[in-house]
Amino acid sequence: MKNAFTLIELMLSLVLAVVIIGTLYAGFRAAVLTVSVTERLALENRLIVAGIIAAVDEVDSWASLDRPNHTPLRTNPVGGFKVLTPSGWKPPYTGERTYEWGGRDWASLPQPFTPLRASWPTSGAAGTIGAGEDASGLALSGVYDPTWLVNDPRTWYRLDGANWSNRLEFHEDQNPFGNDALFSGAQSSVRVESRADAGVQGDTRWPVAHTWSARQTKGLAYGLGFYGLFSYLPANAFLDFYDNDERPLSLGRGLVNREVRFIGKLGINSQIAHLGDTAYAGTMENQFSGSFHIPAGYGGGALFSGAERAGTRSQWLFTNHLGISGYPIGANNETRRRQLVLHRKMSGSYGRESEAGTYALLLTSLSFPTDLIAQRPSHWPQVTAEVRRTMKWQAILNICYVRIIDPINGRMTQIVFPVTGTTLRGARISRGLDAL
Amino acid sequence: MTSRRGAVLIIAVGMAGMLAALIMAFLVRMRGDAQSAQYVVRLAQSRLMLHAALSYVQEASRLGYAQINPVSGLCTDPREGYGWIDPRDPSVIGRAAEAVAFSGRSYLIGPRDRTGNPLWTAGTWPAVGTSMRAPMYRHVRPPYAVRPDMTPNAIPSAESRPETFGIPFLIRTDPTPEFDPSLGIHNPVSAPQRLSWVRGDAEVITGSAGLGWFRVYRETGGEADRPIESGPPGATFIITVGDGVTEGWRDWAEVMATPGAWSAFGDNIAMAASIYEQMSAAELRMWYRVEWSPAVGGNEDVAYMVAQHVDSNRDYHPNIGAGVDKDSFYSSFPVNASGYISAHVNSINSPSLPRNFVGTFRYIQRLKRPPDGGAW
Repeated sequence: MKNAFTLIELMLSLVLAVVIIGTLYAGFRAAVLTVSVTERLALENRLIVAGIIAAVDEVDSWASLDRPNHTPLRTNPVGGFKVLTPSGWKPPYTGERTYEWGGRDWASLPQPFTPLRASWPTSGAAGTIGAGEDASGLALSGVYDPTWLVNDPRTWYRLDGANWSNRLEFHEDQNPFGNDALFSGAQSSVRVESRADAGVQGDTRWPVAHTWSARQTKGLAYGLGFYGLFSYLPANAFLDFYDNDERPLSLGRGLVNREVRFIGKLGINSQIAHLGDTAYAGTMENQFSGSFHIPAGYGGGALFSGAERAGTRSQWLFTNHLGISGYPIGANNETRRRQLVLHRKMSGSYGRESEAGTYALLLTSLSFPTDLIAQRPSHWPQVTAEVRRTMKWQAILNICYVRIIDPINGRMTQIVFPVTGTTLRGARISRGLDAL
Repeated sequence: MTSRRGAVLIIAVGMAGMLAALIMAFLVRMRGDAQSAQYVVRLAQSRLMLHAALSYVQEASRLGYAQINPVSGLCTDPREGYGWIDPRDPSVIGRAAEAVAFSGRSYLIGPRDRTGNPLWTAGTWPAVGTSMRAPMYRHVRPPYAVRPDMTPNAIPSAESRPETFGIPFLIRTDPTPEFDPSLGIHNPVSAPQRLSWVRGDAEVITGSAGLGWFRVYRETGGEADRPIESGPPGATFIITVGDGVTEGWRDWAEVMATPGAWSAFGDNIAMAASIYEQMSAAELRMWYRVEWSPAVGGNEDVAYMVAQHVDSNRDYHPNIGAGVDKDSFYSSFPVNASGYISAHVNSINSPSLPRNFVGTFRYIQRLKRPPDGGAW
């Protein structure tokens, strides 16, 4: 008998072979796809890891805001305080202003990475100084002092922080403790006058007993912006000092509290204004424009550290928030202006919410993600890393955002985490910017 | 028939080989992913050590100097420090001769006790110019541990404890101390229980050791690479953090300078040195300079703030002239007086805000390299 397949055997063999080959093909195809998916997931994992490492490194390096060949926050101010005389202000907001509307002077103002040698005003004062006015507080004497020992009387707060800073209540005749401006202020002397109907005292200048604390605070606020001010001051330093003559006002005392004490309660519009938009865009200086807020559950005047009463650095950071921002390479002047406005801003949320509102807007406005792989294959995921630096809830918050976007399916994964690390002052010391 | 069986075998082997290759590819890739993610774990571990070191510097400014009787477990000398930089005027406490000068100011380097006596011995931590190291691990039961029980006196259900009628009798202390469970149910007057609570159980939990450490060096101000704008000497520290098993020893020479310390790394000195060097090279180490400040960071200062009368309708400032029993600039409720709530503005008159009585940090600075001269 011939040793061969029968037709049925051959047909069965072929069928089985087709089944086996089909299974094999399907298995091979699944294996290839699985390998591809694995490679893809592995690529995403490694990019996420790279993003996390980059974000954590950024917390300490501050490279996105100041690095070789990109120093958006180092300016060359002309020296001395810019002093502008506004028009159209109504009491009590009358007097010299330091910043121009809308942050138009962003390029000539000191910024957070400007060396103190250039930003600390030690001579000259731009703007209008009337005859007989005291310009000494405008051109600060001395230099930045990093010591701030608490046993040093110069660091002590000497004003009446409980006073409500309605200008009329500051009049010496209504102030139960007298004219605080005689005790402490940024200028060397204070103009002393009585009410127009008192007729017992003339218009004279008296020396101010203590100027160190006021001038340090004022110099830091001007030289570094408010984020820098908060980063440099001790936790319990009062953000309150007398400055600026109120000479045009007949009922004014010699000096009024300035810089961080007057924050207007403007309502919802100011939430937009703090970003530099809308009609409130001019609100570069917070004493006239920022909004503030009382978190839910905390009482009004008894707790509020904002506009009317003096407060410490920590108090301010409980009820208000601020951030530090730069701009990317190639940004136009409008973007630069909008970003650097934030350095002269403190904001809160108007109403009874503490997190919604301006803080969310601030976080958004601080977003400048770095694309870790700018030149990548078109099908590769995009991974970005960034650190948004704010001060809020009495603390410095470095919030890292790592984001990966898959161009194939459009899926976006974001990892957000806070990291404790180098502060602005630490970053500046590393760069030698505090050396005098 | 033989050839057909062979063909099936070949096919089966091929499929198995393909599966094996696939598994190998998975394993290799997973291992690669794990290795790349390991650096993130090390970063996180090091950052945790930075937090631990910062907490240590804060607490050691005042705490940790009391003396506990080892027999009774009672505190016999409740000394506290007055901070790394003493906030008191040196002359007021009769210590003007011990003051140091910096930037035209004089101050006392602490921590010192109430009378101004230093709480350190010259040349040993926490004297300036010295360092401490803290290898981190978990104790089985730390000293003074509190049982993590949020409701030691929970309201009993009627079904299980009908005799209590649903009344939450405060029969257990809250919080509840953690002590040797063999000593029975907590008895507040039990001396053995108290001693056990004070001592804890220092046995190290396996697996918790070798994951991280920090060490702290207190700067003298004379370090060559320390900028003068770093702040007053005595208040600045170099914090070194690491994620490995070297236990915070700076180098092998430091290990050898401590009698017997080498034995933690090997059975003999040569082996221990080799292991230490390998572990040291594999570690992630970072250096930070920080300045401690006695300035507290809470809202203690608002305790003086205006006490609003419960009938006050003024939200932001007192209602001056409303009467002697009404608001005043010069009265205040005590801290945490949460019971005083204005009926009109839903406000709490005194704050219950975070406080920090062990000081704050004025800055944190990551150093690009270890400080010169081994000053860390």
